[in-house]
Amino acid sequence: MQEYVLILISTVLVNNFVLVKFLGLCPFMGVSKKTDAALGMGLATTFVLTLSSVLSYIIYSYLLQPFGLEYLQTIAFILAIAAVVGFTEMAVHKTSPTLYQVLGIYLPLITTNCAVLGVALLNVTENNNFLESAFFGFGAAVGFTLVMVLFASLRERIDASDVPAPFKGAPIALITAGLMSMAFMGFGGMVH
Amino acid sequence: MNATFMHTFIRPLAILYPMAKRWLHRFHGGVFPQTYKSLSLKHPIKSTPIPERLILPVKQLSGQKVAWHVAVGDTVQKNQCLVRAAKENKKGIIVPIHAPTSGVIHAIEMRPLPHPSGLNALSIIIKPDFKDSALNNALNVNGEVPETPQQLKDILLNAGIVGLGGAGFPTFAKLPNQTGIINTLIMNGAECEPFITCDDVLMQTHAQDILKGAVMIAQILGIPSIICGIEENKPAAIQAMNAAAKRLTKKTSQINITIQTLPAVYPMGGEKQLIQELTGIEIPAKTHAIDSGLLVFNVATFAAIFKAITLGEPLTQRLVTVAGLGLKHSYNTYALLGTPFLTLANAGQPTHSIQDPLIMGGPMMGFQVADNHVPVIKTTNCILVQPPKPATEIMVMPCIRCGECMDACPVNLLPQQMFWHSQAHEFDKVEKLNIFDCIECGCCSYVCPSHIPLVQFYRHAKSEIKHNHAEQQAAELAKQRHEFRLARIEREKQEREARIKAKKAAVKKQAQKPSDASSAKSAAMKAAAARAAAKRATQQESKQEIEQSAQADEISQNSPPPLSARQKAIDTAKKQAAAKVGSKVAPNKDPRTSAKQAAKKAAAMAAAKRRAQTSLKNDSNVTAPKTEAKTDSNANPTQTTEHSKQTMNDKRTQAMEAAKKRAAERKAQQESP
Amino acid sequence: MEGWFISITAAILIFVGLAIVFGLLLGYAAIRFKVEGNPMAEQIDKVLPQTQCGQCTFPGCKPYAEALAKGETEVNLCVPGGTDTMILISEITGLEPKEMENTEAEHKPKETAFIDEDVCIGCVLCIKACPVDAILGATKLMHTVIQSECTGCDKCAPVCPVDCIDMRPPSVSIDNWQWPEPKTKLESSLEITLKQNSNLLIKNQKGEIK
Repeated sequence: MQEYVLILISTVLVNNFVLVKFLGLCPFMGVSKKTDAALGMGLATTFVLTLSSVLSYIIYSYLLQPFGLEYLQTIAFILAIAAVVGFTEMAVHKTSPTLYQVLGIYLPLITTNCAVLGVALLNVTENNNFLESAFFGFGAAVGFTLVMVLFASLRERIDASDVPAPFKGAPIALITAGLMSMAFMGFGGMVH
Repeated sequence: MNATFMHTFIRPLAILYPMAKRWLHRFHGGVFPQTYKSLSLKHPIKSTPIPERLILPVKQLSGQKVAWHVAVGDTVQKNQCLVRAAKENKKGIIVPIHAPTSGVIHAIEMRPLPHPSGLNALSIIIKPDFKDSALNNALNVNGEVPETPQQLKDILLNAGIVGLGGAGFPTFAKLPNQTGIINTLIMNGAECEPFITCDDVLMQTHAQDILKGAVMIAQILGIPSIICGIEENKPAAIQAMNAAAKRLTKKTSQINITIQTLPAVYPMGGEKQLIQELTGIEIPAKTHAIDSGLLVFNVATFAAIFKAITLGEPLTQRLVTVAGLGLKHSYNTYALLGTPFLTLANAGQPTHSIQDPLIMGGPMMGFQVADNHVPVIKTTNCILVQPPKPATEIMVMPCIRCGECMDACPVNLLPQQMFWHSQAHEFDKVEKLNIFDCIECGCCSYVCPSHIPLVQFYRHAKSEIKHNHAEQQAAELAKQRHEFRLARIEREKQEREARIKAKKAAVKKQAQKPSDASSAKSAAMKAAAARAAAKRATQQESKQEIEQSAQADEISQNSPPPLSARQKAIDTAKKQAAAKVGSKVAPNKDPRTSAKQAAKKAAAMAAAKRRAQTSLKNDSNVTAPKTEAKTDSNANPTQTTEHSKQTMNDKRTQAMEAAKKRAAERKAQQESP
Repeated sequence: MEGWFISITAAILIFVGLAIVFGLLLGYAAIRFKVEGNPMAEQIDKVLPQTQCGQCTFPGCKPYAEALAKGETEVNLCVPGGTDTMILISEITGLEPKEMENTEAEHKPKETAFIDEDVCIGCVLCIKACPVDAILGATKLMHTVIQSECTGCDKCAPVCPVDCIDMRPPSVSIDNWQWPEPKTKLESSLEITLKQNSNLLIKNQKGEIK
């Protein structure tokens, strides 16, 4: 049990995918202008990441490994992720229109989120078992959501602030992201 | 821990930590500005002469009519009613206006209002005759305490009494209709704004009137207890009120009167703050005090109520504090409503000639008036005359997020967040932060170390949010109306089509009748026979026929589209063919049939033309937008249909005759060779 | 040679298998989770100003919203809504925000139509043109505009044969007066310095000309 808790803490804070491993930076910069949008993106990612992490584990250990096709993992994973995203979008659209409205266009965007592929690949390199990869995926997504919401709140504030003209817009956002990243590195050493 | 202990403990502590004084009262936050109250308390109530002109603005809310009782040139007596809400106002909350003195109505024109907008409003200008002859008992009361709440409300409405504390909400509208709803009547004697002392002076001089007014209301509405809250910095008022209360309780033992001393903190005089301090009840957001069984009035309102009930005197004057650092002689005075600000300010020996705008209200919540000649109105409790501001104004600095404003806010809001979002024009977020609970007391601006005019941002945000809501509503209305219009147009189209169809069916029936009668053959059979005959005849007349069919086409094109042009064209072609058969191929066949058919054709064409005109007419008639208009348009077509039927019949008979003639001629021609 | 062949075949088979499985899954989902109607159009319709002015070339706000939901048109066509609406639309549809072509109309306050009742001949043309039935009147009788229902779409003014309709901003009264936005000293002092600088600049230029 302790192991899983450690995996969670590690992925959420210490080895945060966005700020420490620098994966999934595209939505981090792109969909963080509003807190609502950031939260929607985070929720959608959480859903897809957990599912795709599990699915890619299954594909890897039951299809690729037995046939010695490990070198094709990237293609297989991308296929799985795209399918999961597509399926999720349709299912959510039908079953819960309200959730679909919240997640909106962010669902399809997840296909191109490198954090999703990153988690699948890291599961392989770290030799995680089924439950571990599920927790790994979930923790990574929670960390992603956390950082997205924090960053979006900061950016909302920055928008209303008196920023010197050369720094307005993307530059100040990048500086903030850098500062946040440094802050998250402070968690390093908490869990090994 | 009792109050006196708290006081003895906190007083010395406040020297080290001034904000420790906030522990003495029950509501959150609050500030302790310098009061300057002694300026105007030094002098007794001053009597000011009647001014040259009195200006009485008529509050006109949109959609609420007023009934004028006077016209320009009329002579009026003091206390005479000048204007009141028109009877048809169902829930009109306009109170009547009475003449403050006797004189002549000089004009009724637009004058600037004592309002932050500086807008003009329709005002009655009275030229006083300085006799001040008054109508006694203008409200026609018998001096007795009214028995039912409704009677009380009528008197208060007729007396034109509004809340004299500042909000100016009509008092009658605040009262409940039944007895027993209210359990505590609260008298607001907390006058927390700096400089203002008019309520203090009133309590010192008219304690008896105030309390009697309160007891009357308590009796009528069946309120068991009255609490009067007075701040501790008004010892004379507390003493006077206590003495008056003692005398009254001897007479009316069933009502429990308490005079309670309150800590002096701004904004103790706010309704919700006072209630929390006196009763411990925190009025929930979006509800009123009355929902919690409480009724709050300013002490001055009670005095006005007393005068209205016992003497029948309407509200025509009020106690106004004229004070400020720009005056040598700050004072309180009974000012007639409509007295220009400048007249009162000049009576206080200003240190400089008054150039800057005067302030209505205190320094915390007051606003600068746009024109110094604006009149005293019922809610004017103070005219503040400040010395001209130094040229170098305080610089507004960026917010440093110190959080002082949050600590000072008496309604537990987050002023910094609200400022942040209103600055960024994110008004939906400001609304989510409950900006509409902000009482605009100015505590946050007062404590702000960056001198940010926070309250102004909130006021702007509030009006902006209100505007946005109004726009949203308008958009929703527009959408509904647009959809309704589309539905209406669609329905009318369908109705028109249905009508045309019905008419066509009728025409067909009529057209079939004569042929049935003459030849007793079915229409289809005849048509088939005619077609066969026509085929036989085509060889020579093919050229002619083409021409004719072209004609038929033209006819069909000219007829309106909903008439099913094809049908008509076929009809005409058939008839022509039949006529040809009748005349050329089968000369022996009764020419009458063909003549009849020709007549039929002419009639049908006439009817079609007629219908086309009618539908055009309908088009132009139908578009009037309201429902009455719609019934109109529904009525119209039936009329026109009748009309067209009649003309149709006429035309038909004419055509019949013409056709008969033509047939006879042809017969003669055929017989001759 | 054989091992190489087998591994390639296995790879191809496995991937074809995966593709078929996922394809079937998605195909099934597309049928099973088919959604009727387009909730996006409703959503867009909500953010449109509902003036029904037709400046987007669609006959009303709803048709424009529907076209947007289908992705058949541009996001920057709503003139009365301005940039704010354009951004909202692009957020809902996920289309790229585009600059408004007509920016001058944006800061124009909302106006409503007024009919000069002395000039009106009662031709009912404006009544036909009004998309929200806000004009009251009948043939050869005077028309008037119901102010609270006028959206200011400006459709009635051009059709009037006697040019008796003009668009006026709403009159400011105590009811709809708005507190102005406070101007912080910081901004105003900045403005003053800017003005002084530009004045200096003008002077310098004049000097050069001399």
